[in-house]
Amino acid sequence: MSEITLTIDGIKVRTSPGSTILEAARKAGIKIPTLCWHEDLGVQSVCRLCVVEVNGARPLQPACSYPAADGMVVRTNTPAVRQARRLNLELLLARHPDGCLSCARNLKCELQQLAQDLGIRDIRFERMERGLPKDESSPSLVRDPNKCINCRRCLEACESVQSVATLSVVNRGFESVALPAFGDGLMDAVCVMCGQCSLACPTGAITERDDTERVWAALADPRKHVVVQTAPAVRVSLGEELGLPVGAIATGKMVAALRRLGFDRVFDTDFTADLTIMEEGHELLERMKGSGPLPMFTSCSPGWIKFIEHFYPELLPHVSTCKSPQQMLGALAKTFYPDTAGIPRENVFVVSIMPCTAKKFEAQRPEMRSSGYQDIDVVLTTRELGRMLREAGIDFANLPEEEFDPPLGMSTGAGAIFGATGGVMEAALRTVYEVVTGDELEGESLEFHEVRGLEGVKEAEISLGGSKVRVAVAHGLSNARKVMERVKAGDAPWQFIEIMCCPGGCIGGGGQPIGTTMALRAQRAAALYTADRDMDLRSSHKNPAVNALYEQYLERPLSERSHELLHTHYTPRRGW
Amino acid sequence: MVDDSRCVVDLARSMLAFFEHESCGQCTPCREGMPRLLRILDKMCAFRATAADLDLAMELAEVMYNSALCALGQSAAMPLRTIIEHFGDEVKGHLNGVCATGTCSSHRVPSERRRDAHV
Ligand code: SF4
Ligand code: SF4
Ligand code: SF4
Ligand code: SF4
Ligand code: SF4
Ligand code: FES
Repeated sequence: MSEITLTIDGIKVRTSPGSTILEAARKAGIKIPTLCWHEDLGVQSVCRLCVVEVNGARPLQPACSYPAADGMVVRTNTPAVRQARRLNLELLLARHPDGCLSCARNLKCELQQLAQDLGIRDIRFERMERGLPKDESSPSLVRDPNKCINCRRCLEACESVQSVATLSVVNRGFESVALPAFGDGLMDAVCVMCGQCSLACPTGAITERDDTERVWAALADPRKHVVVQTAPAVRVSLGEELGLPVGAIATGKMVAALRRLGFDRVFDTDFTADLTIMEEGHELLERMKGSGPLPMFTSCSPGWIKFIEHFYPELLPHVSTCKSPQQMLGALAKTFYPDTAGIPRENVFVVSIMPCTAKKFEAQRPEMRSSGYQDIDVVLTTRELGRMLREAGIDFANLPEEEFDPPLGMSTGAGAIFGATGGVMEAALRTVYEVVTGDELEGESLEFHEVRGLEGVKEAEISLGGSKVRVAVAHGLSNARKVMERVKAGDAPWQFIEIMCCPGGCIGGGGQPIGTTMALRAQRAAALYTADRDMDLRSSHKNPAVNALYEQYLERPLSERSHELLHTHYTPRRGW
Repeated sequence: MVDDSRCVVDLARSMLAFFEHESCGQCTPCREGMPRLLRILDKMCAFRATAADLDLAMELAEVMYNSALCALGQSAAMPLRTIIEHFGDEVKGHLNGVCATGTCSSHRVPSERRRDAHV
């Protein structure tokens, strides 16, 4: 049968066999409440808020997992359905702290929204909160298990999407709750700090660590020269966080907003993305001549770095020694920049605006102190910057467009696309191709569509004049794991592999707006490719500011000073 | 086991305590509903339950049957539904301080519950 027809609340709905009642109902414009269901995650079917009546029968059935069938009659608002839905929600609320006004998820919380949608006004059970301690061990994330409603979406994100499996449900029955294994805090658990669990969580049980106060304090300190950098992916998500349409490119407004907050210089991580391509591209060419193991893996994603340190430490020699663009900028912002601008290094305070919770961890790594100080002082996520701008009362939508500051603010389209899966690879290919063949790429030929898009593992073969280079791109750590297994088995035909920890790359990072889905990731990625196409310069090696930096300061890619400031090493860690 | 000397409310309560112990905790109605139901039965056995409590217990029983994920949560409410159906007067007596078998009393300590203090 190519299509089935069922009746939902008196409406005939045609749908494909194999779809669930929930999917069929959405087609008919009927919104069945859900809490443990997430459009990108495996079905849990545990919250029982989506129950509906099927063919008049009892018990009721969960719409999120129950298959639609031909001729089926479904009712979604009978007294029994409403009673079950409302009582189950009431039970969850009776267990939950009454802390909306001071909760990071206030107004973006699915539990709160459901309570509002169902019009719950009275909770007939005595409140019984868990009384468990908050986990503030991690520099990236804060967990408040008292706000956990046992939906298991974080488990699904951590285990199925990321293949890390930090979280599990501990205890049975009434005492069960999602926690890191062995009762550890996240910092002591095997956790890569990616924050995908916080994007998956419907409530405020897992949130980014809020570091905005430290930035406010630095901005108010007259001795501090406060500089800020913005990651590629933030320009296409900050607008969304502040109410502009999904995929709005808000680069100029973002720069203007940061100046209004009081930052002394607004630099662009895209600049060091271009610099990364120069260093990493040359590293690849050196390795292809035999200087190190192939395939080489990219190193810009700290969630990925922590993953390989935990799970594949034996493959660490394959990882490029390049620091991430954030850390390269941090090192330059506390050495080259103050030294040439005549500012004492110790007065410079560097803030990063990142789509990422793992970057908060990265900034604290002991290796990231090339300037003699911690190179990056504070990392804020897109969500935290949104919070600062709202608090400051900045009318984001109506800001003028402003430009980044020299010298670390100039970038190319290649830097911009770093924010989407495949972008680092594409940027590298643009440069490596031109360096190796001497031919110039222009317009369409600059675009390597084979490495774009949301397929989990992408492969391409590019001919570089006489020779060929084979590359792979993976995003989401379960896909990274597949690629690593092939490398381990000696079954990897590639020379260069890009890995991004988060699904979709940084546009889908754990610090991005709440409500991030694969569909929104696709729209943000499309916006980055548009931003790239709108730039005059689209290849990293054509960035005049990068070239000037080499002339004035670094000499050449992989120079001694480059190694000192822009390269790093890794630490094998305990796995499961 | 079931004879005239055993209070039906107390019997339902001990059966429910068994079910509660077995609840795995995956789904909302069983994980959250069972302890609440047990607390109401505790209150009934101590003559501290009101008519509203009994109504809420009936509603819990219905919702657990209608929406729990597996047979355990679906059947856990059966004891309560059964005694209400067959021994309605004896059950309601507990709202007015009367236990036909004399098993229950206002001095009675609630069953070994985790958060007894709240009952
Ligand atoms: S998690 Fe949601 S319901 Fe709970 S306090 Fe926060 S906003 Fe309110
Ligand atoms: S931050 Fe990432 S690795 Fe850590 S618990 Fe969350 S999803 Fe898992
Ligand atoms: S922490 Fe959040 S996502 Fe995880 S089970 Fe609890 S409520 Fe669900
Ligand atoms: S993919 Fe991007 S957002 Fe995710 S951990 Fe890596 S750098 Fe951070
Ligand atoms: S009904 Fe079944 S699945 Fe649900 S909590 Fe009880 S035992 Fe677990
Ligand atoms: S959304 Fe269907 S059971 Fe939770």
